[in-house]
Amino acid sequence: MMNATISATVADTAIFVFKTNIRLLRDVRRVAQVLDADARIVAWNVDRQDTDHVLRVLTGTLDEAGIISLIQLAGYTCVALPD
Amino acid sequence: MRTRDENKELKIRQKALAMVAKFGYDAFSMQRLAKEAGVSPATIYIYYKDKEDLILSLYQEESRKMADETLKGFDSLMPFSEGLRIQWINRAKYCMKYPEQMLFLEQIKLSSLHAKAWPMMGDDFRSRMKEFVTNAIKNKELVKVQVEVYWSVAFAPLYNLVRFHMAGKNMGGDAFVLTDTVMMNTLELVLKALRP
Repeated sequence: MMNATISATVADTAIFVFKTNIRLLRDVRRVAQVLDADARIVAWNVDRQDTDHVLRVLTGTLDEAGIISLIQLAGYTCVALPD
Repeated sequence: MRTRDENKELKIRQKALAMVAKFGYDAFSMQRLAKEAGVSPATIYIYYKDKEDLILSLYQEESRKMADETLKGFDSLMPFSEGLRIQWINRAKYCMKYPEQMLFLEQIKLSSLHAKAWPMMGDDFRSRMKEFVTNAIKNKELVKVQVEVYWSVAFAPLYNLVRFHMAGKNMGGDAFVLTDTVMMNTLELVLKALRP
């Protein structure tokens, strides 16, 4: 629902999606402090309307585990959504 | 890392459109869509940021298609009766050809997303409609009334007949088919009502 609009997709940007407990606006703000400060992240958003509070991240260099540890560092759970 | 698959994306869009057409925007969710489309929620999020992103993208495509169909052979500087006749034919054709898409657009109009969706249609359609009306008023072919009144008299009768036609029955349950004659007779009444 919020945050970073997806800019022009760079050729080798990957998309990762996670189930989280980033529920409230203030949770999103807390996560934003970490994600916005990280230059490796191209864009991200949290769908707060969804039951899984899906976090979607576009990145050129980070991998799944890297994103998970960033979110955990901010104090939230973050599990990769299976295909 | 996930990759895009055009067939999957198309299926997601078709299902989403059908679900919104049937149940409305507010009842729509990515989880339900995933189940209906037979994909994982993660797959849908590869293509769209969230529910709003997906539905707005569909709205943009569908509203522009509706506008293109409505404007076929139409010129905003035409005599009023001719311009309205072309629009009636085009609008009726669109509804018959794309019933699900029409319902989708109707559902969005009634939903909480409408304020955001409306500008995505683009200015061209609205400015041409406006020019058509302004020109007709200037040429004394059309009575000057507020826009809601104009729209209700000019188009609502057509859409109501289309609704009866699509249901195959009228308000009392009797069989109904919208023929060209019925449509043109109704248009005559509308034109009479709109004359200054």
